[in-house]
Amino acid sequence: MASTLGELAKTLRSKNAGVDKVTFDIIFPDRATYEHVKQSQVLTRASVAALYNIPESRISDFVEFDPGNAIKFTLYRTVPSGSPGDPDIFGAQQYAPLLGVEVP
Amino acid sequence: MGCRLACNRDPYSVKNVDRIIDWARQQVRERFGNAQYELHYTVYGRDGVMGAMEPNRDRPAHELAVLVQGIAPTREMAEEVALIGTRQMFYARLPEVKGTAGSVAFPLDEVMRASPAYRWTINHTYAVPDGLALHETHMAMVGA
Repeated sequence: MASTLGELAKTLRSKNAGVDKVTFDIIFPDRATYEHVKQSQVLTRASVAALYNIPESRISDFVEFDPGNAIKFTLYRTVPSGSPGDPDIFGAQQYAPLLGVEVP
Repeated sequence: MGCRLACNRDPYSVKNVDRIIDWARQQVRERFGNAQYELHYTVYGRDGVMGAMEPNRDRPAHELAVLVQGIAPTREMAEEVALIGTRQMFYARLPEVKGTAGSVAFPLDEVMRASPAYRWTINHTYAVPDGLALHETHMAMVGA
């Protein structure tokens, strides 16, 4: 079942969480898919930090949320939403690198 | 605030867009010295949306759109910062570039005006010892 997160997830999104964080939701269509991705350990604090080229200290939360078949993590922003030069004031397009993450 | 777009298509300019931006920044610095202003360059086609978190930053597209934003205490100064910060990209000369009649393409030759902006941030969360104490609670039986 080698696939990408983009193929396996039902919803894969990023959005503001307050003014100084962006939160990411990777929601799977059913328990089996969710468990498969969770067991594969392709999504961890370490892998997210590597994918986004950030220190793990930028990750405020990382949760595997069984009742929702979802993995969720939250990053601290470098500047508050809407600051001059902030290119994504709603944090809406920060999820793209996750789409290509391969799940063995 | 004023903003403009400047675009690159020459492969060498695409690769060296930071040098073009540095040149333009320097010209603005020479015009305004230590005056209070901000000049922001956002390079769409490379890392415009994700900035330093962009994993493909080293593989830019074949053409780039650079958004130039000038911010200053007055509208006139903000627009002049954006104007110089963009026009000087046109005049930037990289020695290896064959083109000599302009280093960027402009979709329009004027500064777009943005509304005045104020910087303040409220994070509307508040830690309380008992979250329920902030709300009235009613118990009701529903159904038979």
